[in-house]
Amino acid sequence: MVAGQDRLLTQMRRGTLEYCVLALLRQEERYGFDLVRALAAVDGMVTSEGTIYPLLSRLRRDGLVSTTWEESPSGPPRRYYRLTEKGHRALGEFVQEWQRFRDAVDRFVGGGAQ
Amino acid sequence: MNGTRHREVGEYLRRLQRSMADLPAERRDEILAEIDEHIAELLSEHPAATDAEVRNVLERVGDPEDIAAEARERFDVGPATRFTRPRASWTDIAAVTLLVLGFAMITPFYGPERLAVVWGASIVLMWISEVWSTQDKIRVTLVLPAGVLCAVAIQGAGDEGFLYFAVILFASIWPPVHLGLKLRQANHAREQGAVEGQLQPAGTRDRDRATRWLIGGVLAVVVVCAALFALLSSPSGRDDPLLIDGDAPRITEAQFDQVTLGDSKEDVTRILGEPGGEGSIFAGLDPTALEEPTDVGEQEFVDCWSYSVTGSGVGVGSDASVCFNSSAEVVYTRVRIASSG
Repeated sequence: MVAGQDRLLTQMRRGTLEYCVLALLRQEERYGFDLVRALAAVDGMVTSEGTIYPLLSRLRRDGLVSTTWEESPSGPPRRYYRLTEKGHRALGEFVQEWQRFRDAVDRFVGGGAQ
Repeated sequence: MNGTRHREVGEYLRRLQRSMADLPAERRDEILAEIDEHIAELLSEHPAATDAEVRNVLERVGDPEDIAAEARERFDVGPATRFTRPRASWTDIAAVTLLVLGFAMITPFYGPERLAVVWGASIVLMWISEVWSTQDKIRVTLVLPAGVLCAVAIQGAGDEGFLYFAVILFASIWPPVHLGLKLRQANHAREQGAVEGQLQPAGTRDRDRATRWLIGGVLAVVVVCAALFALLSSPSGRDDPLLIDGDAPRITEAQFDQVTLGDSKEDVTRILGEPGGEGSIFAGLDPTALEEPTDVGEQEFVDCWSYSVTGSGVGVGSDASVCFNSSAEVVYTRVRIASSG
C-alpha cells in the first residue's frame, strides 16, 4: 500500500473511532474494560487495546463522556463510562454526516453493484 | 487490585511512563492508571499467570511507543522529542569540591583573596554544568560574593561582629550542600529513569551547552582579571591586612642613624614616620610631637618629634628626638639606645 494511503486509513480510523466509542455508550453505561474489549474485538479498528485509553482520556477531557466509580462484587471498584448530553449531541450529528458520507462514497466505489 | 504485581508488568508500566514523558502530567497519569487497571483486570482472569501468559497480555495491550504516539495525536503534542537527562561530569564534582575547600579555608582565615579565587573557580565550573538549574546557579552566584565581601569587611574592620561571621558561614556551607544534594538527586533520577525532574529536549541541548560555556568563559575571564588585579595591586606591608602585629620590620640602630642633620622633614617622615600620620613603618615605634624637648641645646627649632620604642626593636625604652628649624630641616637629633635585655 502506498504510504499516503496508509496514513489516510489511519486517520480515518482515528477520526471515526471516537464515535464508535460514543455509539457503544449510546444505550447504556459500560465498564471501561468492557468498552476497550468490545472495540478491540472488531477487526480493523484498533491496533492494540492500550491505544484506546488515550482516546478515552481525550473524550473525558472534552466532556463527551463522564466516568463514575462503582463498587464491584469481585474486587476493586470499577470505572464506568457514560455519554453526556454533549456526547449524545455529537454522536447524533456524526451519525447523520457519516451516513451521508458513506452513501456518497459507496456510490462511487460501489458497495456492491455499480 | 493485587498487592503484588508481576515484575514484567511493572517494567512495562515504567516503559510506558517514560514513553509518555513529554505529555502533560495529568493526561499521562490518567492513562497510566487506566492501563494499569486494564492489565490487572486481564490478569485476574488468569490467577496464576505464567510469564508467557503475562507477556501475551502485555502484547494485547500494545507497545508503549504506540500508545504514547496515540496519546500525542489525541492531545496535539508534537512528535516525541528525545529527552536527555543531565549527566554529571567531573567538572561538577570539582565545583562542589572547590566549594567545600572554600569552607575549609574560612576557618584559619586564609584571607578573602584566596577565598575569592577558589570560589571564583567553582562558580565558573558551576555555570558550565548542565546538572544544576539556572535558578540554582544564580542563587549560588549571589551568595558567594556576599561571603567574600563579609570576609573583606571583617579583615578591614577587625572583628566587626557576629553578623559578618554568620554570613560567611552561610556562604561557605549552603552552596556546596545545596549543589551537592541537587547533584545527587540528578544522578539518582538518571539511574531510576525517573520521569519527573529536569528534562531537556535533545534538539536544544547543543545550543544550551554553548550558552553555558559562554557564561562560564566570561566568568572565567572576570575571575582571572580580578585575581591578577588583586595580585598586582597588592599594597606594601603597611596596608596588608594579613600582617599581624609583629611581622612589621623592627627598627634598628642603623636606621635611627640614617637621620642626620640637614635631612628634611620629608626624609624623616619616610624613614621614621611622623606623629599623627600613618605611623611608622617600623613596628613598635611611636612618633609623637614634643611640646618642649628638654635637652635640645641652643639651636633654633620649630618643632620636635620624639620616637620611643615600645616593641622589641632596638630595645624597649630606647628613644630618639628629632628637631626641625623653620625651613623644615633637621637641626638636632638625639638617640638614646637602651641596652637590649
